[in-house]
Amino acid sequence: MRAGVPMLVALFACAAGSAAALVGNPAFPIAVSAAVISLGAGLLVLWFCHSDPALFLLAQPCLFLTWEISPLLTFFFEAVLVSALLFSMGLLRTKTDVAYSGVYLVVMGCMALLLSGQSHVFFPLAIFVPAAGLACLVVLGLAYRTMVRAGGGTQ
Amino acid sequence: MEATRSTWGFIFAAIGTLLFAWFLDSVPALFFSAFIAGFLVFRAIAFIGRAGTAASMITVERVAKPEWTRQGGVVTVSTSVRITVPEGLSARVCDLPPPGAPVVHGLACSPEAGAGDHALNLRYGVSCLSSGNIRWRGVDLMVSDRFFSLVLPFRGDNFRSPVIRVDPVGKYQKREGLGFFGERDLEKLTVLKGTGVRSFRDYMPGDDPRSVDWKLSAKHGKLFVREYAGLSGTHPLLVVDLPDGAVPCPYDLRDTVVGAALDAAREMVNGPHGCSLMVISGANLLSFLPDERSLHKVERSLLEYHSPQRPVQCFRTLDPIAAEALRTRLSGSSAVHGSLERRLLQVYSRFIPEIRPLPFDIQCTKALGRRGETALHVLTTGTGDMSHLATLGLQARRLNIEASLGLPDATATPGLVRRLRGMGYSIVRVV
Repeated sequence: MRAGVPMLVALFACAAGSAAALVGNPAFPIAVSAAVISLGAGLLVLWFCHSDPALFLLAQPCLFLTWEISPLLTFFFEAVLVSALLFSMGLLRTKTDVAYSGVYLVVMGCMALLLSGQSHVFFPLAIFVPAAGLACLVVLGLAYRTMVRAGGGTQ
Repeated sequence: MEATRSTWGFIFAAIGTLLFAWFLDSVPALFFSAFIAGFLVFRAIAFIGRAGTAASMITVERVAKPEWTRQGGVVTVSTSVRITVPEGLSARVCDLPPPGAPVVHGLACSPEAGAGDHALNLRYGVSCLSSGNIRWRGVDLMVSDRFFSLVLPFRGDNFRSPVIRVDPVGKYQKREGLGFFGERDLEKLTVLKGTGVRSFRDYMPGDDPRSVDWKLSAKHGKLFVREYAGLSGTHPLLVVDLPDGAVPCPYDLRDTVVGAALDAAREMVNGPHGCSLMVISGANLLSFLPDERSLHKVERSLLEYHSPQRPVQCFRTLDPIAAEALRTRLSGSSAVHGSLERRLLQVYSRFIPEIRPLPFDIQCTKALGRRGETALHVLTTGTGDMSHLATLGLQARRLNIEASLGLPDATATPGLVRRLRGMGYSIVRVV
């Protein structure tokens, strides 16, 4: 299979699914327009400069409208897109990769559930920003520990 | 840890949606921002875990030939790196040559290797520009995936071997004369034979057949042997004066002196009496090797003391004999009637009996007073205090030994050369 095609298929599925979910909703025309634009842009990206992350980001506007119908459906589409992205990039081959992805999706699913009950962003944002900073520190700390332990200490 | 272009795209998307969520109070935008940011964090943790796995499986074997070279020499290096790259990662290994040893041919970095077991061979050459015992700085392992890259520095001892010994380069200027140290042919027979032929005589049983002059023998129909001239001045004492480690001194000055000493020592150990070497730093005797025939020992003595400290300094030290001469001159002079001169004479008269020679004076006398020392060759950087050089020159003059001195071009100012000549060195030249 040509590189980038799985991601384009996932983009098509999510865009079409999102538009179909909005049938009967006033936002349906916008959803269809967003899906068409995303697919067109995705084809251009695939044709000129193949980039799976770009295809992943292109799908986000389509999913944005689906949140109004069902946050869990949005999460489902996101999960499909992320799985396709990881598969397409060769990062879903080992059991460890699958385990990491599983944990990530479970955490994101819980977050979708929590956010679905919120009508304003103030409190979630007050938690999200420090959590993101903490996550950055954890990642940098892990990277530093790996660098130091790898070579028996820096000299 | 560095982010790739894709990761930067994700970061900007996360920040953009976060701002969108904040300004428009949009919960779905916040979800997308958190989803993208969470994806990056999850990928970063997975990447670091894999990088650690790759780092734990690396082994490096490095072979350098030759391991002992002169400054400026090229060392050929062969580094074998065995590495297991986990799925989804690519790795690149860079060997880090010693400081002051740039790569002159070949590549010290491997091409990018994908997932799997790899045996990477790096072949390159480095030019050793700095002297001393030099070691590799280690190995850098660059691991990357589609989102992140990380450089893992391996600086442990097992990644820095082998040690290359680089001797400083210097050229000892030969003196006028036949041999390395200005030996002269004597018109008399001595145990040491020179290169010149003094005379011919009839062959006598027991003569060395190698001394038979076959051309002359064929001409006259009987055997003639050559009588070689005697050789003088073949047993010098080489003194190497290393700079004070506590005083800043350019490394190239020290290397010039040590290089010249090594050059001279290599020539001297092949001589009939070996190499007599005295390594000093100021008035501190570091090493003394009389009649040494082992080049290894001589080189070790020269290279062992890289930055010696000078516990004994002999600024303004007055030699007892020189002080007595000053006192005699002062007492005989008409100016002794002045109060200052009279006071000085009293000081000399009281203190001269108590002046004891420094250990260095005694060491110089013993080293130069050995039987057969016919010349003194001093190599110095010409920096800092010169009192010990004056002591050496004085002792050589007392023992009627010809003294010469060599110093680097950078410090050989006309004033210093004139001053050193005044200390008793008949020849002062640049090494």
